[in-house]
Amino acid sequence: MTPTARELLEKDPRLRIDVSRDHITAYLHVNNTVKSGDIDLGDIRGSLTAHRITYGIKDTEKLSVFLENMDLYDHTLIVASGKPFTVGDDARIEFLFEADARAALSDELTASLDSIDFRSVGRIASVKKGQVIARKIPATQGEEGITVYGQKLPGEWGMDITLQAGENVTVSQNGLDFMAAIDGAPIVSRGVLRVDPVTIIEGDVGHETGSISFAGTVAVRGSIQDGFTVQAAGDIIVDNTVQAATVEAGGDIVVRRGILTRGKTRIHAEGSVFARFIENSIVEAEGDIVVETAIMNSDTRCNGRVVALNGEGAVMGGQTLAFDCVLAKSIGSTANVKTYVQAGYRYDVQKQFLDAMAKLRSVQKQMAEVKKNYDFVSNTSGDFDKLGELRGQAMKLLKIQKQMQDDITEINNGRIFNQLASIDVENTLYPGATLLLGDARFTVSKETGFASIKWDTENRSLYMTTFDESGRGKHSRPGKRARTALVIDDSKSVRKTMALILEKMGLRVVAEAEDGAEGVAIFRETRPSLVTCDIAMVNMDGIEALRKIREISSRAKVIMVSSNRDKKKVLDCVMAGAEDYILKPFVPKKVMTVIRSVLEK
Amino acid sequence: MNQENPDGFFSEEEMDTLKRIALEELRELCDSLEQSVAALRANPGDQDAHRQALHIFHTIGGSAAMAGFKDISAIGISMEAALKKHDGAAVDHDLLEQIGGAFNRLDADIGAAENAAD
Repeated sequence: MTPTARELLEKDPRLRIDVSRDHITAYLHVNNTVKSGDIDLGDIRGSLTAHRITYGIKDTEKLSVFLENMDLYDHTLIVASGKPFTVGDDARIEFLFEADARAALSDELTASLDSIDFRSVGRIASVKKGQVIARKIPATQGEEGITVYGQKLPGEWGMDITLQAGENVTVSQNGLDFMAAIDGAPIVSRGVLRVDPVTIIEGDVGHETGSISFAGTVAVRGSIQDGFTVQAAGDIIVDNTVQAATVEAGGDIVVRRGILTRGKTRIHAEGSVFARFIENSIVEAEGDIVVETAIMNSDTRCNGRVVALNGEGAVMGGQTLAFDCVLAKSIGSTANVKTYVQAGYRYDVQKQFLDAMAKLRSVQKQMAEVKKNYDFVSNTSGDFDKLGELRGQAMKLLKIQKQMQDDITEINNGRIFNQLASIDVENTLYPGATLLLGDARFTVSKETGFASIKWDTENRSLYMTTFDESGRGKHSRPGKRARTALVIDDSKSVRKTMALILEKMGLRVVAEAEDGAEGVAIFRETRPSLVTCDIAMVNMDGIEALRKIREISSRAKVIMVSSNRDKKKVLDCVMAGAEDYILKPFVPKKVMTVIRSVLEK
Repeated sequence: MNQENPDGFFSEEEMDTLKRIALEELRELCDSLEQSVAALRANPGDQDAHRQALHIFHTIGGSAAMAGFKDISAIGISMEAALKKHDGAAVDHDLLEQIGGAFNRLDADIGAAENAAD
């Protein structure tokens, strides 16, 4: 309760009482001019009463000592102490069967990724129908506290934890006990507890067994041999190796030895994949991919984490993509083998995007060939019919190109970048490795020790933290050398809009030019990576500017921008060397698609 | 305000800036157009004034469309087409009236957009 104005006026001016923000501590400050003996216990008590402080007041003896030795206390004393509230225990789950390491991994707060006991991963426990297999111990409330004003503060509750009941698991009415609905194997994966029926293959999956398809968990005591398929609605647990076989699991895939498909087949898990190693294989997981030793020359992609923090902990060669993060002891190798590691995109969407970009590139190549032929014919025979034919081909390709760009824009709209994505390397980052967060990339040129690569949202760039031998941290922005752009347009608003789009793409706009002549002059000086150029301008139009820019540099990348829908005009630009064209009014994301496809040609 | 921001690409602050720049530019173009109209009224055969008016209408068509001012853009585009038809020839009375009318509509529409933005 706040003291009234009247009460405040009645307070002793020689004394000041301050109360901490949490109302747990009250400080008494005595004016420095006041000497011992000038004030007494009654004055202090009066002041505390005026401030309505009632709880935790120091006893008479302590107050007396203070009054006698105020100088020693610097005229300040904690005059009252409340009781802080406490935080209760966090909720936890007790598994009443021998849960394997995956149960711990599903709790992101407590999981220690570098101490996974791989021997326990994939161990199959057995439970009976009706058996309680897990119990939730609820969070508790902490002890209540009390302020110096005597107000009660409720204790804080511990953190809750959620365990979802999956298939063949029932939950008691109070929501605390989880029971098996069938005889089978209890499995905890990604925060869900389920009981799977189990089929056990005592040897290899091969000619003797044929391929396997099972509505539960499949345990293979041997290997899955070349050419065979194992499909399971639940987990697939393989004690030995997976060779060139197709393996698809509705849950996790655990391979105690290695996955060695020689790139011939695909391993896919709706849950996570755990393996001792992955070599020359294509592995996809909706959850995590966790290896004990190494990922070598493989295409591994997942929508969770890729983890290689145990043993050798190496990711070398091939491509690795994770939505959340890639954690490894080392990336690349001493042989500088090309290793691509990317984080931040869902792998399925990214694959769609890359496939579409590859198709677009193939059309761009055909277009470049047509342009080359066109230049050759115009500079030699000038055969009118042939030129017409080539223009026709170019027009068709342009149409296909625009359709593809629209498709890519559509895919890109669903390609959400996880700005919290990261790549962390515990020991060594080798030259030859290329790291990407989203589309921002850098290629490692010198060997680096501990490195953590994250995304800087404000600067829209990567930033890397490394530590030298003395343990001193250093921050850098690898790959920060931005590509440059020049915007030529006689409309200020179009220039500004285009410049903003380019900057959002991470390009540095070196200048904005109001007409072709100015644009050509600036191009000559700055040689930007990209030029966007309006067509209809006074004082040198866009086509003339394009020709002059191409004379200065035949490698100049110029994109024409115009509201002119005359197809002949557009084709003239393309045949004169424009890389592409954008029609006004433009949609920013489509502009990004065109620019990206030109820059990555 | 009808400035287009498809898929929320630009932030609100960026949109406000782009909108302000577009309106300033449209106002400047409208002022320049007034001079061209006066020059054409004084001499309908003035090819420089003709070219200038054509270019201004073209720019208005593009810039207004970019900023989402569809009505203003439509005036720019239709007048650009009308002037192109008379390219190289003297502007006749009807076209001169059409240009004058277009100028008045542009002036009013830009004014309304400016008021809405304030």
